[in-house]
Amino acid sequence: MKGILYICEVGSIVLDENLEIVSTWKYPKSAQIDSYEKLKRGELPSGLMDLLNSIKNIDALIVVESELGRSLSKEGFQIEDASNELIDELMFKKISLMVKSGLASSKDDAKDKIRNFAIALSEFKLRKVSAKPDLHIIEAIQALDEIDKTKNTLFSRVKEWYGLHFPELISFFENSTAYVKVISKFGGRENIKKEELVKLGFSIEKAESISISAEISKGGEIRKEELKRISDVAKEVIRLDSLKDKFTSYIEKNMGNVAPNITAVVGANIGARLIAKIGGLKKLAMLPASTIQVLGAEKALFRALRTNTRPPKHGIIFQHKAIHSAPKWQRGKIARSIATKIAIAARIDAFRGRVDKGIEERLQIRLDEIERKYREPPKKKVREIPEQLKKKTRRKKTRKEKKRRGKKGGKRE
Amino acid sequence: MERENRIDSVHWLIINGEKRIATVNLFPGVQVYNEKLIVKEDIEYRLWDPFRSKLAASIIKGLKTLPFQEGSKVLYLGASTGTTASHISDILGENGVIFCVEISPRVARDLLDKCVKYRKNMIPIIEDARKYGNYYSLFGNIDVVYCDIAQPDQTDIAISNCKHFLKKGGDLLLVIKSRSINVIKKPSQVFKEEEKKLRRAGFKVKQIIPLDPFDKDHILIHTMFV
Ligand SMILES: C[S@@+](CC[C@H](N)C(=O)[O-])C[C@H]1O[C@@H](n2cnc3c(N)ncnc32)[C@H](O)[C@@H]1O
Repeated sequence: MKGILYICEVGSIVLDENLEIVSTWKYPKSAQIDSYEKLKRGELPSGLMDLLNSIKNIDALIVVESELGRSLSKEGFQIEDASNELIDELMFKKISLMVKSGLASSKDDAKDKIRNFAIALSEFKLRKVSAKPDLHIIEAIQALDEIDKTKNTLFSRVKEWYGLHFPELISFFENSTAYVKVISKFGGRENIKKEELVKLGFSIEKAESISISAEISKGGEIRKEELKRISDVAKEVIRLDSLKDKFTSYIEKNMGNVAPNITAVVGANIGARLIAKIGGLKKLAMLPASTIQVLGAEKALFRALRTNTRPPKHGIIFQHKAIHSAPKWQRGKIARSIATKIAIAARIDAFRGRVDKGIEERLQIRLDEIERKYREPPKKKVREIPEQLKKKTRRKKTRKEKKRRGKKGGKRE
Repeated sequence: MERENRIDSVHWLIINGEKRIATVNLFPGVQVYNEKLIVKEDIEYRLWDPFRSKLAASIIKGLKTLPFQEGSKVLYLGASTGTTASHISDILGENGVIFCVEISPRVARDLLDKCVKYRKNMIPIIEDARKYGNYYSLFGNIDVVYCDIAQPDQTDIAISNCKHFLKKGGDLLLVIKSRSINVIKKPSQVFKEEEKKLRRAGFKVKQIIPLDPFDKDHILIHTMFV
């Protein structure tokens, strides 16, 4: 006789070919999702083996889930795939099968159980995806920094080494990659020809000055072998540079998915750094704007608390163009309004997930307003300096006191 | 533009002199998408916004019959945050079921928190509608498939879902946004091609409704699976 193995939300059923119940295994209540997922993946929990071993005179099993079928046939079971007609029929009769098998006490109970399971499984799926992507972004932004650091280290090496041969070359470049590209292309300075440089995109004037300074360079002669080694390192710098591009676009793409609102406010890079600093999107969403404003400036913040001087106005978000390109006296205000918007954006990204175009617009309005209102630097307050000094001296006293207390052997706070 | 049609489960209310459609709130007191709640003679209605829901737009634009009613089983592909699905849930009532398939976890969050939590007739399925073999928790005969997933291959997706789950004589409501199928082709051309696909797959076209001005270059096709 053939049996049919039917996996339901709250248990598994073995049926005969007339869809009469042969045997049932109810999943443990606390492990419904887990059991169901395991079975779908083709794992064989002990409960299933007990169910299958308990049934007699069944020589072949018809199985709906193909993964599970494969695992079972490895275990020596005679397995057949279910036909589409059978799958449809099982689905049509699912509710009554659940009642007949004792998995549910009534049709309503079966529906309730299915719905509760569907909700629990959905929650489980949402948790699974929502737990991960920000962690990957954190790794990626840290990898990006490490790649950048390595690139800079190797670049300095190339600069110093090649500098023995042609020290003047570096002064023509602002960008390290363009410099190493020239080295890896030409090698020795005597190969650097004006026409070739123009072909690479240099202006005629610049190409000319480079080739002239190659002719009159103060650098020493160099052997082919050393040039080859320098060029090896130069190529590595170029490769790391394109690796950086890859990571940058990875971060941009994923920030757009994971934190679209933060990305709209401060861009993918700064957004990712903020998330990395605090250790996750949810955590960022829990922070007040004032903390977000100084995130990444902990050193300066603690120094300020210790010495009772003014706290820093901005940390990571200082990299935002709107802040560092603004006049000094506006920066605090800009930083504050950006931090406020990040806090709102982070909460939407972490808990609601929709794109809210309004945040970015309101930020721009506020930035324009700051620019208009505070065009002139504020007049210096004369009193400010003595007041700060006073505070400083008072603070020093307390520290001395503390020290004294410590020596006496009193408890430290 | 407005043609008052007789669909029993959809109510026409006069609000500030304007005719609006609404459904009876299955879970009174709770809004799904900030829609207005209106109480008349002890019944709470939810206004159904044609700018937010293409099904509402098609009703206002003259959809002759709603294929589902109290107690029906509906398979909804692309449930999103549940704007339209919640009104269908109102209409199906406690004896009906609406299976809500949605691929994106981000929007499914709202679907769970704002709809499913309160509405006993909603069953969430977080899955790609292309992988209908993975739907868990589907049961019984499906009376109507509603499909609005804005994908280039969505007509094919709708067809294969119907072939698996829709009963013979059941209905498919398919929203077609010409831009998500082909940006370059003329909308009328796109609509014609999708319609042809449906006919070839054995669907009988009952009604085609352009959804402008609520949604530009969108139509809703009402077909029957024979
Ligand atoms: C235009 S929206 C639907 C709006 C909804 N019908 C309403 O009126 O409230 C399209 C939805 O389909 C979902 N979707 C897209 N591709 C899908 C797929 N392959 N399977 C399931 N859902 C999909 C999207 O995530 C999106 O939420």
